Amino acid sequence: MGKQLNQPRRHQTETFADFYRVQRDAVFRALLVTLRNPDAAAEAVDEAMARALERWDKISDYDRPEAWVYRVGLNWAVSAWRRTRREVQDVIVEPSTEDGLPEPEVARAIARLSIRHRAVVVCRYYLDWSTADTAAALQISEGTVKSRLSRALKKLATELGEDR
Amino acid sequence: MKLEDRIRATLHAEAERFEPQLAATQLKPATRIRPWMAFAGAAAALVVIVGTGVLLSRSQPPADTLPPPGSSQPQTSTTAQVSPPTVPGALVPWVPEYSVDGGSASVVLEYIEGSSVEISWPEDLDLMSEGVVPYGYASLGEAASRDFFIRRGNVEEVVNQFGAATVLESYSDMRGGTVNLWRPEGAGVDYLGFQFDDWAVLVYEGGTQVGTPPMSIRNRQLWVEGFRGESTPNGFLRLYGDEPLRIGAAGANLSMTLRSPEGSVELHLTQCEASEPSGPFNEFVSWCDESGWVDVHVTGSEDFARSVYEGLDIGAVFVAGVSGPDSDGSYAHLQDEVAAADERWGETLEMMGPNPAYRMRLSGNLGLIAIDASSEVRDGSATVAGTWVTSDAPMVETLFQLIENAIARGEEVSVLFHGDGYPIRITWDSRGIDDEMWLDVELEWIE
Repeated sequence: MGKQLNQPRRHQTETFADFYRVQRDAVFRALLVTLRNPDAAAEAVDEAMARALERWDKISDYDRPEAWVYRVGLNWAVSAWRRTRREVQDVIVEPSTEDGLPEPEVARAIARLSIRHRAVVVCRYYLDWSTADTAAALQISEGTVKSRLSRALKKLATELGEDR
Repeated sequence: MKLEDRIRATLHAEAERFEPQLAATQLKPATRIRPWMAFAGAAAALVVIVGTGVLLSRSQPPADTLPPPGSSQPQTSTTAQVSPPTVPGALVPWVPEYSVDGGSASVVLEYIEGSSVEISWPEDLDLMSEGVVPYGYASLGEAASRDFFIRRGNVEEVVNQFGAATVLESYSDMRGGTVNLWRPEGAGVDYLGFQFDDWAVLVYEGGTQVGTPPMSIRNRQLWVEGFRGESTPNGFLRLYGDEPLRIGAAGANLSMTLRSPEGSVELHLTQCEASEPSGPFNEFVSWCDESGWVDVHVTGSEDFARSVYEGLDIGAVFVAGVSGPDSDGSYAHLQDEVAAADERWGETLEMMGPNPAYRMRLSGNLGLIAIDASSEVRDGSATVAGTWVTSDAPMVETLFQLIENAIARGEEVSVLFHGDGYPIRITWDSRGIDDEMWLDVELEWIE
């Protein structure tokens, strides 16, 4: 945890097959909670994995290629939504108690965040990445990570009736 | 509980609640097949029966779920394979002639089905020095379309880029020409090779490593006799198909790739909504051009991507088969054409009739993610092989999850395969990357 991207990495000899086997599900689930749509997450992770495969010589040198795949998948999905002229909100899967969630109201509040805010929340609280890691993965500054996270938490707190 | 902890617990619960084995209704056809994605295509046609024989999922799709030509819906379905064919750079890249005026270069790109897009860019931006490559697909009333591997050059030279290639069969195209079925050594994929003037077009044929059955004799005949092409006066490739073979129209899978040492630019001809870049200018960024018809994908460095975004100008767009914009400037009437195409597609499927089914019996354990096998097609029987990383998720993964779960429960598992191949007996002897994961699969025709 907490390693920067693009540094000589631990998996120098790792094949794409190894990487795919180990990371696909994790990246898929991260995209799933970000995009909130299983089909979109599956397409996004596969598209990003295909691009990673094409450029594996380079991507494999990154310290955390899975962060690259997450970012590319996220960008691709957002782009795909735009291509099909669907709004992100249109494809959100609204959580309910039937989903077995401990606090569906929290899930609903997260679902109402903008995708940019949600991506930061997912990186920090689902993937447990540091601010620096999140910034590197999403290609934004650490300051932007902090400001987006702060706004996201404030909005969540408001919706959930918490004081912050 | 702190808010951060509530968020953390919720996100983890949400992520874990997704159970692939419960998502059988998501099984759907691959909408196109890249050669190295072909395994997904095979699974698209699988019908799974688990345990007591209860039909869990039928993946042979109704006609209205097939990929509509001209659809603007993203049609991507990806299966990553460990060893996709790679092409050493022996072929000379083709760069179309372009004009330069006042420091600005321009060219009209001609797509394979007749559409065109005029682009211009700063002369000092290296946009295509490593060549221009068209990309597209055609459909033959199959559950999955077949996409093309297109290069400028001779078929034999191109197919040998995959490995030393041998001719398995030769067919007359009924126009005085010959179309060969090639098998490049080690590529694990057979190709029908078409020569259209200066262009070689390889049509992935299935079989062997990638795990899909070969074309039926009937379908192969339709491809050989109905697939035509030529070089345009400007040197681009133009393709035609005789019914029921249909060249893919504008949509997410019709594109032109411009290559340079700094990166690549894909110009997808598809109806989209003009947008800002999808994200940071690094490694991959995309946007929809103001025309609403060109989805630009840039892969490369930040400098390259930014230069393309700032310098690439898309001018006149002509979409084949579309007479022009409506009075309000939109192309809404295209939707009617797409609907009509869907209807024709359904009729084609009906005309071709149902495919005979065969049963696949499985025993043992299954490597959910990676499967190794070896393969050969001979005398009407085949052992299908290769190393794949599945998955056209959730399709393949869901399928295998279903099978794996059933095996884990000790149930007998059978899989019905609705393919369009020969009435052949296929035996899969697959072995996972992990020695603990293995699977024997046997297919036999049941009707």
